[in-house]
Amino acid sequence: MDDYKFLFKVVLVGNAGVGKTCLVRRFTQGLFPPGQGATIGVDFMIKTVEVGNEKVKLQIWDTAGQERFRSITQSYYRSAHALILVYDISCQPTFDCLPDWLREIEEYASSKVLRVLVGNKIDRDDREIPTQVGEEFAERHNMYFLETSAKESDNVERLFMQIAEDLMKQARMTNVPRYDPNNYNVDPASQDSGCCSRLN
Amino acid sequence: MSSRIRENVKHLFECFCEVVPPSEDKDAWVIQQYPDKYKDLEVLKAVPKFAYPYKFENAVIQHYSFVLTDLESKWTFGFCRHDPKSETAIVVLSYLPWHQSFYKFLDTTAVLMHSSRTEDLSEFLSSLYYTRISEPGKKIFVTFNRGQNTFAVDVPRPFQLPSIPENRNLTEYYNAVDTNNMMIIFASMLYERRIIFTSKQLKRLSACVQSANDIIYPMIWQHIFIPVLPLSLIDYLLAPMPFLIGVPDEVLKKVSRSEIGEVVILDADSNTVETPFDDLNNLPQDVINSLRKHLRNKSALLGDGVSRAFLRALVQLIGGYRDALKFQPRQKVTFDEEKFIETRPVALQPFLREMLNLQIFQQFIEERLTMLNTGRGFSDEFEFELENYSAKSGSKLKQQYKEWTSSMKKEGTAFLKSVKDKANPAMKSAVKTVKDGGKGMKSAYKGIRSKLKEGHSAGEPHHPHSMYESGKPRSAPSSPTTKRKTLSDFTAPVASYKKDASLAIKNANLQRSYSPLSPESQSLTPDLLDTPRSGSPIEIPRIDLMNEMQDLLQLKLDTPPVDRSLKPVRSLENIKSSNSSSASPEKWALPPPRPTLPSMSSLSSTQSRFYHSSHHRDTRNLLQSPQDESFESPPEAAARKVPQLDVMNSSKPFVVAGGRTENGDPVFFLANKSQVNVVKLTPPAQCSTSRRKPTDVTEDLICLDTASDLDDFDPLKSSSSSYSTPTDSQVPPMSVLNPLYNSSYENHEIMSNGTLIHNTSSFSRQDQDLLQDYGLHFNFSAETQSGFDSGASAEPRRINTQKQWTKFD
Repeated sequence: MDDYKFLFKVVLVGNAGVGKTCLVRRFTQGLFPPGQGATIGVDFMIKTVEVGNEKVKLQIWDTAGQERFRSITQSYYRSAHALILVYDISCQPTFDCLPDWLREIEEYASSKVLRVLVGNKIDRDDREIPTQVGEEFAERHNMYFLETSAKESDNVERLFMQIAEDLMKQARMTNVPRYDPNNYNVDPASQDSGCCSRLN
Repeated sequence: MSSRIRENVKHLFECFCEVVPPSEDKDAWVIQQYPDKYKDLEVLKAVPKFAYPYKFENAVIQHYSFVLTDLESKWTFGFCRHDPKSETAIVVLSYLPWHQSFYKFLDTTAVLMHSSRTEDLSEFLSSLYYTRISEPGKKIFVTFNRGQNTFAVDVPRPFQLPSIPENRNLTEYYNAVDTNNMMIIFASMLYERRIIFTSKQLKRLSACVQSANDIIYPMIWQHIFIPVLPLSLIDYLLAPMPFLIGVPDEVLKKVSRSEIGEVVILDADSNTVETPFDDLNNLPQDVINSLRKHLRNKSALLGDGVSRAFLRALVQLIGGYRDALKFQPRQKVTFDEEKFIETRPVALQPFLREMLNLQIFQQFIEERLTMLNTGRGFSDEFEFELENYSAKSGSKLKQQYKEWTSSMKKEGTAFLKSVKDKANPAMKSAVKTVKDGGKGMKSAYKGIRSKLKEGHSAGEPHHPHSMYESGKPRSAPSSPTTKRKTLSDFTAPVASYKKDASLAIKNANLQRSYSPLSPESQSLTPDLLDTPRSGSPIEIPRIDLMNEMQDLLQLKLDTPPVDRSLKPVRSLENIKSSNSSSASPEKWALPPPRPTLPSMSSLSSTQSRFYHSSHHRDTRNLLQSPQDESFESPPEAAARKVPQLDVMNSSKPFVVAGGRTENGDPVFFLANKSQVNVVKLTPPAQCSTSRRKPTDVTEDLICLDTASDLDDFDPLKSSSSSYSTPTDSQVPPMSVLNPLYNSSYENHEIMSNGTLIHNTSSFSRQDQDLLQDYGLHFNFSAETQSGFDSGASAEPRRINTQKQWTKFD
């Protein structure tokens, strides 16, 4: 496949209409043909960036219809490296939902998933959530925080580069190209599944 | 809501498409569709990808389904039919997951596409499209072929558990995957893992994925769900979210495992599960033990036994949600998570705490609350099973709910309205389902019997164009006006695919604007030019009977066939009573086996099975069913004569089992009074299938012997997997199950031959083999016998069998 050293998977979460997809499209500049999401309920985009001198591939994933979940549960993002929680700074309800979305994340503090809170649509005049409120929330929940405008391309690049750099740092620390966070290590030699010997 | 099946569906199907396969420089594309007004371009763009998910050689007619997910995460089902004799694939999109009905629909459509009367197809499609969807439990009838045929669709009852063999998906899943692996997958789904199913067969793949989801009822998989993943979407396997994806074997080979990360992989062909987790052992053990116990009781697994076993496990796991419901007057019913945990046995608590954090459980609770808050109460199969499990809590809770409901009604709010709307017969039907299910095998047999009877009457020569479902013409409820309506939906032809040899588009009205084909693809068409056109009305194959029978017979049988011998007396009585055959227990008993052979008793049981199957009434019916009405000799006579051949006493060998192995070499087990031989035959030199028959006989021919004797049929007592011949590892296991299934279920050649029995010129060895598999063992001539005796590559003479046949005329 491509010549990259690290592959990181990023999952986007947030209410409908907060601009998740726009954010990603802006970042990838349509480098990956979008549109499957409409037919199989999931979409992702890829961008390869350079951190230091290393190529890092970012895969950003977005599922259709996640809004129907009252809260996002840990099973949803346990294989991801980073989680971006998006709200719309001009829409209070999208901010009010954050605790719901986060319920899980708090309970599982052990989770190593990198978490980022993003207030999107700063190009809008009708801001309802002051930057400071968002910041405080992020701090309280031990998250990175950034405000962006997908429309104006403000901070979008920075957001994803920041994530790539952070994940690189993590990966270097564990000294393994982290394809998967492996949070859920269970003894693979399970007794009951004696048929797991097939290796490809 | 949290369900992913759409409600209030208006049309039986959304769109019917014919798809041209990809060529070197062109992707697969939709050449025609109905109705033309269907304009979801995203979906239409996706259909060809799913119709040709990867480059595959298709030697047999294959049905499978795929699923598209829209932005609200609702599912659209695509049912697909590939016919090796057709240049294109046909696909029907529907919001309804009615697999059996839509496969039948596609078979009918395939026939109509070759009808000489061009309006047949469009009339059929439009009357089906505009027909009203009946009440659950009823049937939809649509007439077509100028009113001469009726197409019937069963509208499933609500909360009906999938049962074996009626539900082909579950039957396939149960056949392919043993119960322990089913349990591992069940557990992995409850833990919301990333799960891959793989198989070389699309049909098996999609059936297994669909069934795995059915089995977790009343939960519904909330994540990525792709029963068949096209090669072009291979990167979606990297999704970090939970998924359940069916990946064709060819496609899976192209994925880098390290990139996928932690994933559970079920190989449905080899029946193996690879998992980095220990989910099954992490489920509460008493629940698992009782599930295991239920699944071990083979005799109870026919019908909805498998589904119910898993449902019971879920009842034990999460049924306690009822204790955590809060009823407050004038407020919606709510769910108290803490109470849910606290009221459960301590052993269950850790698991339940985790359960609360699963999307699938959240969805479940939400759905329950919706049911309660809209007045539907505790009315589905899950609740019913729950009440069986703990009768006490049920009545108390119901009282509570009743009081709450009446308080809500007093309010006169919207609630009342919704109650009226939804006031449902669900409970009743649920009870009925349970009763039906409870009868277990008996009712399953009954179903088969009635199907056999249907097959019989449908095969009556006097009713050549009789209905699908019964031999007697029904007055169809669909109004004839629907037919007139049809054309308005078609656009006028703008271009034609190729004027004389349009790609199976017989209806000019169906042709819509498309780009002209490239020269390469034009080469596809000449074959079609010499397509013989049968006179209309066209002949409709009777497909489902065969499919369903086949499914039944394919049941995986885990106990060795030797068990059959435990009740030889019964078998013998059957022989005696059914005709005057001289077979007696003493004569029938075979001498001890030769060392190379497996248990002799298993063979003898097989013999007996073949033996009385040959004269069983229902077998006759089945024999007729794949043939068309032009069968010259009354089949009854043919079948009736067979028993008079004293097979048992004869020293001449006869086939007790046989068929093709995976690699296509026919193998037969021959037996005579004193010995049994395994004979491997070389492939037939000739194959008598014409390029395209006017009637595509799509029945999957199956070996009928095993199920024909209804009283004696007990598939659960014998095995297809526990035994393999020592002589050749490729030899299919011998048992009541005929090895033919493995390949011939999909083998269209054999299927086509179903019509050949009266056709002397093309009566090939295959036919003979087939007859033998049906249990029709005509006297092998001396030549044949010596051929067999001398061992390996003997080829029975065609003439012999032919003579046998004419004798019955």
